[in-house]
Amino acid sequence: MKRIVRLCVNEEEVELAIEPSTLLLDVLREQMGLTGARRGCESSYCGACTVLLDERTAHSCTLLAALVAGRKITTVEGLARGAALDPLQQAFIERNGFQCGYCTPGMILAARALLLQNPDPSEAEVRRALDGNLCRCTGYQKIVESIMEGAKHYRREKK
Amino acid sequence: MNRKEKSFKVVGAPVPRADGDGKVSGGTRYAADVELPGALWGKILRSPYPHARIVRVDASRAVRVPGVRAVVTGEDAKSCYIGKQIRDMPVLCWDVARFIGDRVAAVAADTREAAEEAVDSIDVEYEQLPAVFDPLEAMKPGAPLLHANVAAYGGAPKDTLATDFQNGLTRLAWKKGDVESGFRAADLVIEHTFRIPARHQGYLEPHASVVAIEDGGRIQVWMSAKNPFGVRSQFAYAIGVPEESIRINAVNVGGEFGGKGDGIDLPIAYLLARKAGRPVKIVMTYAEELTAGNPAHPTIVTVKSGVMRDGRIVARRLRAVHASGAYGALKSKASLATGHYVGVPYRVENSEFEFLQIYTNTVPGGYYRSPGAIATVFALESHTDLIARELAMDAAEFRLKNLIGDGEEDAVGHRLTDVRFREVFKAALDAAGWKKPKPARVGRGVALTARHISGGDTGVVLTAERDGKFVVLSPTIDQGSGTHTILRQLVAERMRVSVDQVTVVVGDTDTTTKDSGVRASRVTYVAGHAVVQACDTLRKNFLNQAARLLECAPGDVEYGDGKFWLAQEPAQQVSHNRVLAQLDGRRSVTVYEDYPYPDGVSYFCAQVAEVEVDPETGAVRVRRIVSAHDVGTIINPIGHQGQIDGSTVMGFGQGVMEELVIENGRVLNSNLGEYKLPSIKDIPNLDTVLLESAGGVGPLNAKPIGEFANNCPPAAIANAVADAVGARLFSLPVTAEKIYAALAKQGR
Amino acid sequence: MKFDLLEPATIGEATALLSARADARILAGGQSLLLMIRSGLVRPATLVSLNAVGGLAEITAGPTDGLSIGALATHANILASPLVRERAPLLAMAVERIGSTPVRNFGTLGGNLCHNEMGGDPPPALLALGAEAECAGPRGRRRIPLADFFTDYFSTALAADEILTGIAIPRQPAGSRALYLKHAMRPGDLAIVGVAALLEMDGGVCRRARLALGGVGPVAFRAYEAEKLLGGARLDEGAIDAAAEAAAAMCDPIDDAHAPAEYRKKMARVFVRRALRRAAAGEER
Ligand SMILES: Cc1cc2nc3c(=O)[nH]c(=O)nc-3n(C[C@H](O)[C@H](O)[C@H](O)COP(=O)(O)OP(=O)(O)OC[C@H]3O[C@@H](n4cnc5c(N)ncnc54)[C@H](O)[C@@H]3O)c2cc1C
Repeated sequence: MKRIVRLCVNEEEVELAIEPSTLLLDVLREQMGLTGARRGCESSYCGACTVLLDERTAHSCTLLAALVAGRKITTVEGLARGAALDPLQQAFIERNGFQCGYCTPGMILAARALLLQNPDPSEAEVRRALDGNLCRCTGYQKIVESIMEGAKHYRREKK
Repeated sequence: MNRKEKSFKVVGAPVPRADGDGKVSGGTRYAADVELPGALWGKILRSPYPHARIVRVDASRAVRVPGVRAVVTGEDAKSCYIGKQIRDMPVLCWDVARFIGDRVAAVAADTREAAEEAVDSIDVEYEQLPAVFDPLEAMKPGAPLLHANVAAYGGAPKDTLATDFQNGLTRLAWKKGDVESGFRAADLVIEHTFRIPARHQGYLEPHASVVAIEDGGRIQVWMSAKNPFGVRSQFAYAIGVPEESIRINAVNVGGEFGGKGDGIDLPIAYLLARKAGRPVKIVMTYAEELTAGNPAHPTIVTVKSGVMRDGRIVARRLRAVHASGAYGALKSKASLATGHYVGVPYRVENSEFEFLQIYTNTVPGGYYRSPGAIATVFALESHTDLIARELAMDAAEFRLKNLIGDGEEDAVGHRLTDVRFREVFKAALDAAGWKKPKPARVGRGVALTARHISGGDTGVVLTAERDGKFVVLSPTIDQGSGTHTILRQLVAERMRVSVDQVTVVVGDTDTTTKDSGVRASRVTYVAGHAVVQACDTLRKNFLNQAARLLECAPGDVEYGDGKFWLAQEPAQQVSHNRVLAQLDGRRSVTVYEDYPYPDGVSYFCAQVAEVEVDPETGAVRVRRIVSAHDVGTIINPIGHQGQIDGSTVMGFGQGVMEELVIENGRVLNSNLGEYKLPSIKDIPNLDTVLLESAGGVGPLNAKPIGEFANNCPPAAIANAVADAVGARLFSLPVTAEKIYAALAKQGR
Repeated sequence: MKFDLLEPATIGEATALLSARADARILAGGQSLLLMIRSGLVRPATLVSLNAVGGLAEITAGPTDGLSIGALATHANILASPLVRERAPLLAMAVERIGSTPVRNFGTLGGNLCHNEMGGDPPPALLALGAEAECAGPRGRRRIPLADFFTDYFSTALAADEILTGIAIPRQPAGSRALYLKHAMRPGDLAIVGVAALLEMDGGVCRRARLALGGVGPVAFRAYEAEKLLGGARLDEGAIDAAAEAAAAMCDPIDDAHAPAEYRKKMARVFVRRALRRAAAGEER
């Protein structure tokens, strides 16, 4: 039986009728049109579906939508401020931190979760924070470079 | 423009990609993101048996599942086959299923859950048939037969069929000199056999297909495919409609690496859409990808070489037996054109190379980034080290002795120009510190490869706009490699504008010229030339018109930054817009060309892996991979380096962890926890050496880069492990337990 | 994938729901259970979420100097807890090796233990620490020594209507040396073998040893035979080898996608040896 839940996605509250067994990924994609959360392996290995839940890295393919009601959900669509991209997004463009782009929203969100806690990470810390996100195109080098670049801006903002 | 004229402004700059905004903000649309009003979810029922007769399909329970709008079975698609060339793969099996995962029936429903439930309630009665999984077994007389009459299939490649073997599909062969007398003359004859498992391409976006049938019968398709025209013709043939009635719309592709060139699910989506009267979307699950995608073939390679004491290779025979899987449909000519990988780098006077495709009751194989190369390079380069060892020569010295030089003929009889193999190889050795002392249990291994690239048709429409901008309408899907950025840079360079003034629009099968797809490292070559050719024509139109306005000869006109002026008198100017206003129909140029296969050039890559082996556990840590490439003009250095990094890591993954474990026809590791792809924590240090030289067949002497660095890491790593601890592996991947077992066998 | 979802507010309500519905299952972080459902391995009609039950995620100082970790504490909670670092660093060492960031963020310790998958990291560490499972059911509360908690692949001593509420861990003895070693193909994979060793040393002599292994049998287990050999022994190469031999003899692994059985067994010996050697030398890494 469907139930009404109130989700807080990208700082907007929405009320949706969902089945209790519906995954957050499906709600974001099919009901809210937020397709930046990608359908990948759907079993928590690839990270293409990554979102932030209360600013922590989460795989939306392994979360029930009904259980995240009221918590703060951020998808990649919620990062830019108007036309201005988040500095991490900008860094991914400048440093070529993507190729096919399928993993990119997840990579950027996982990196953001790290930088919010630690805007001055070592490369090893970056790698640990992104250990739930696979990329098949880049060999990860340019992703790490992009994040190290983006981190500079997070440090400046924090000051 | 020749190489001397090297004052490029835009070419060679690290231009960021124009598709960046969409990709970093989630706006980029892939096939699964396409939402059509009333669209249904399609789901496929697959055979649970490797070989079975379909006795009866009863969908009566399925149609009663709430939300189900259509069910189709083999009866709805009798005698409908699909394939790149040989059409031996049924759209839906109606009489026999030939692998675990073969398509048997399908449903379309309002929701994914309903579709899943309905598929589970289709009752199929199967009668199991004897099955065969290993290609060497399948070749034996009396082995269970998969296809009774291969030659009768549409598109069967008559001249390469291997029907002299049981379950034989195709044979490609190369021959030069007299291999037997070569062996007789040799001081030493050595033979080894290597096994390479099936591997999945590992793109993160599973196959997605969306089909909508318009009222007039026009079929609209959105699909994760790298070759819209190829997919259209396969699809049209399978459902028996003219190609023009299908439009393959452009969407982004979330990685493909060879795996997304077939529209296998399109006919099924079409049948469902027709029956339901609504659009249908089929998205494979990742488990379906791993069990019923189109992985790289399991391959057994036997290679035998005759060598002289001084290190010269005088004769070589190589035979690769590929398990084609249940069908040959997923590769053109039903084979992998692997000859150049084994033929190119070394000088061999007497050679015989044979590549067999054998039907087996396993998931059908397809293309995987430089198809066949991993298998043959692993075998050949491991074998090369083993010979060197037998001759008590340094592995690098032995290679240097046999690598061909400029103008020499390779082992399959191609005479090659602009060959710099030895220089590039030495650069790799130097960068890796080949001769430097190393700690205990650390080893270095080298492997090298060379390959040809392909040609084929493509086209482009280049249009000058009023505001000084240029628009490129291209049929080339940018599957991630950055092709569109390269095209923008070429136009900007040629038309002397900034790169922001050039836009690339991806066309679809209605709006662009034909194109044979993203494959075989050909894209910069063919699409690059097409766009440069279009620029040259457009520039001529502009200069002629400007000359008329300036009342001078076209040769006296200079241009740039949206202006034309008289070379001798720069104050005499006309603006881009004024010239354009008088160009009329000549402001848009269409180029369509079939570019030749450049068989006289071969590009080269050498890689050195440095590993550390823990002899107590067999665990291998790859510390570093050095890749040296033979390059021409690098159009976009960040994109270029991205190709090298990505392909090296893909090769590294196949070297140490990737394997579809298939037992009795069943893929045992059907999730990404068990089918292992390299994660960000696994990556070794990567170093690149680029040696620039002439011989680039691409525009401005560009050379290909997309399918090189992935080929050598498995062999380089295996060679490094042997160097470190003396354990030699004859199969991939190079895992801890295999090294451990090899060491135990040596009685260490 | 279709099921009902209930969110009781107390443990009592939760166990009552479980008793009333035979086809119900507890949901904690969902990191394992949802995957199992998605791949068709289990098909429960109802999930009883513990997420609305208050206080289950707390990490508190225990009465006898130890600590108590609520079943719903996530792996990330454990890693962030100063109390765990202080009183049971061995557990932190093991939890640090779990899977990937999102799994650590949402997977719970209780879920990990109840799921009881071969090669999980916390079980050997908790066994070596001598932890106990705190359980609640319609028949009341009980404590189960962890060594009796794991019964078979994916099975525990919990009754169908029982809930794991927390783990009680005695404080790691002062001056003891403890170490968790994991052998896996990729860093975030389940362990081919995981070894936890806790040694109470007196100079070069081992007063008491606790040694537990995971990944090498249906369940993680204490290697009592090896512990016996170590107790009171001077930890030279001979003693360490003998203990490793004894521990390996207790392994009963199977082949799976991560490694063949034979290899797991061989590695058990290697890693026990390493763990003992390093712990004896005072290297706690
Ligand atoms: C990609 C990935 C990698 C992983 N890698 C590792 C690893 O390296 N090492 C490792 O140790 N683990 C690993 N895990 C497992 C991970 O630790 C567990 O998934 C997680 O801890 C389970 O906790 P959960 O809260 O999500 O449990 P759930 O998925 O919610 O539940 C799991 C099971 O336990 C039952 N259950 C849960 N809580 C209770 C309770 N309080 N009382 C009774 N029954 C209960 C549920 O009914 C279910 O059967 C990995 C998992 C994933 C997905």
